[in-house]
Amino acid sequence: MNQVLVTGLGFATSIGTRYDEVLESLRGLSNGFARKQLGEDAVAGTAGVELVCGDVKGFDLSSCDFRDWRIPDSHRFNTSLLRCLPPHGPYAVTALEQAIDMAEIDRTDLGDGHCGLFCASPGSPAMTRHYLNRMAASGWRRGPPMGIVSSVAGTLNFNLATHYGITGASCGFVSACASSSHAIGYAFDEIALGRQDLMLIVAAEDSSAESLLPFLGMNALTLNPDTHSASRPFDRQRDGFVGTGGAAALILESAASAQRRGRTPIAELLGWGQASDGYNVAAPHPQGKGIRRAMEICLQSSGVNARQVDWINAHATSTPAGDRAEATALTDLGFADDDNNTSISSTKGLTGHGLSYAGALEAAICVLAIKEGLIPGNAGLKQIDPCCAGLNLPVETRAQPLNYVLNNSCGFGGANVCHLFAAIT
Amino acid sequence: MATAMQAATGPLGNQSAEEIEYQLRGFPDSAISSALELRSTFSTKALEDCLHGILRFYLPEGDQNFECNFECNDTGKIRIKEDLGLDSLSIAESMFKIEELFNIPIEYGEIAEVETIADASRLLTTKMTTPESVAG
Repeated sequence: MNQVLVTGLGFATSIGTRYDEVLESLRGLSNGFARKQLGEDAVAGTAGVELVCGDVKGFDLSSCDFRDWRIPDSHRFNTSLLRCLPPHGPYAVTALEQAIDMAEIDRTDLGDGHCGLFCASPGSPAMTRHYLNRMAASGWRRGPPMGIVSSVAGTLNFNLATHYGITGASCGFVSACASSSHAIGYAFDEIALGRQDLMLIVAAEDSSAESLLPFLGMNALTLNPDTHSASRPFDRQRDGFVGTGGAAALILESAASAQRRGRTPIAELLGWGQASDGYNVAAPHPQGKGIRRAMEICLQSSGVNARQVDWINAHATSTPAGDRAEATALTDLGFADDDNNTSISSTKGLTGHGLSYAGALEAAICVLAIKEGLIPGNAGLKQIDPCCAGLNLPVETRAQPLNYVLNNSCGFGGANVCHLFAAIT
Repeated sequence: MATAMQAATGPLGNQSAEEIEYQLRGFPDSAISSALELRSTFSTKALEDCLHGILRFYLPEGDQNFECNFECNDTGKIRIKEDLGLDSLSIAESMFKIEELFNIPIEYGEIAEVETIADASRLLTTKMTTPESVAG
């Protein structure tokens, strides 16, 4: 098996659209939230609803017409690309361009067949609605030809594989909030098995009413109007998640390729695991059966035991059931034992829940934490839920060299994924 | 909607200048200025210039040959596929934009017969002068 390294990261998130901004937020525990009115444009005649949401600063992608979009670094975009993208496309390109720059990859090499692209995107329900409205206005005779490729779930891989001239593997992953963690896992396999030298991974989500408000119907979103306590994973008072759009990107590379290019890796991806709950279409297994098994497989395949793990970036989204299930799984695996020093936090207290791009964002934060030697605190955590008894949940961010870091993700249908990142030795 | 102050004799006379500018935001200035001219009067040159500007928006970027064809040839004689490099989806998208702007339905079979900008101009001119062609 080839060694799999991380050589690039990119962010277009509520806590920063550059590496140094994300680092500053993690150090200072400054969240990326704002109160927003959602739904007023989506349903005529309604005032919408005000919710605390992630705010990706500098972008305005609220329109479904790309000509209205405001994008920092707009020089990276041309009309041919923009007119085929969903509203989360500019987030994705921004993050991926950063990651490619950080890895110092010559863009002319991306199409040599040794580089693949895996994406995660749920598509854009707002864009689908927009195109249907335009078709209706033409008497259903005609619709915008790029309506499909800019709105369905594969939109990122369609567009970006074309834009970057990818001739290696390209694929999109859809497993709800585990989507981008699956993308990273299978990208690991592509390199470990020698099929590709380089893998680009990018995941993104719209910030629209159509993407976020349906979660209200599941009682999964918090209605807490206070931006400082709305997202509080593992807290006794938590009552739902804060949704956010945005994007994150990672570059995975074989050790041989990084060495050939003279690149110093940021961290190593040692292994990954996945397992399903087999329990409920939306609710997690009460004992976190699937995420526990995913962590076990990940640790076993990586040759690392639970006591060696310095930090776990938990999936915990700030919902009562989800956090409890994960805390139970962590306890069952020994992370609450007296002789276990693993710190556990959920960076969703700062970022909000990025849904299908959450796994990639949190993987990128794991790699950043290893590089910078810090454990992010649990933002918003005031009263630890009794279900977390014995777990080490730091409230403040602290400096600490990290050797092994786990990243958990859980999605609808009981899909669970775990990655293990390691410092370069 | 047109107002009493607006000259309504041109093919785009039923739209205000603001409506046209909004519809064509992001398009080349030449598309907007010629569309505004088409509010008050019809001329083949203004129509060809407007189509030229709209098609330019869909031009594959970064290809100097196609850019050159846009600048070098007699507008009417420019071949949309061969000279501009527009693929079939880009042509369909540009025609959809033209349909929306002029409020004139264009059938797929009619698009297939359009080779040059002059062909597109003639097709539109014919439809403008045939009342039943105008979409309700």
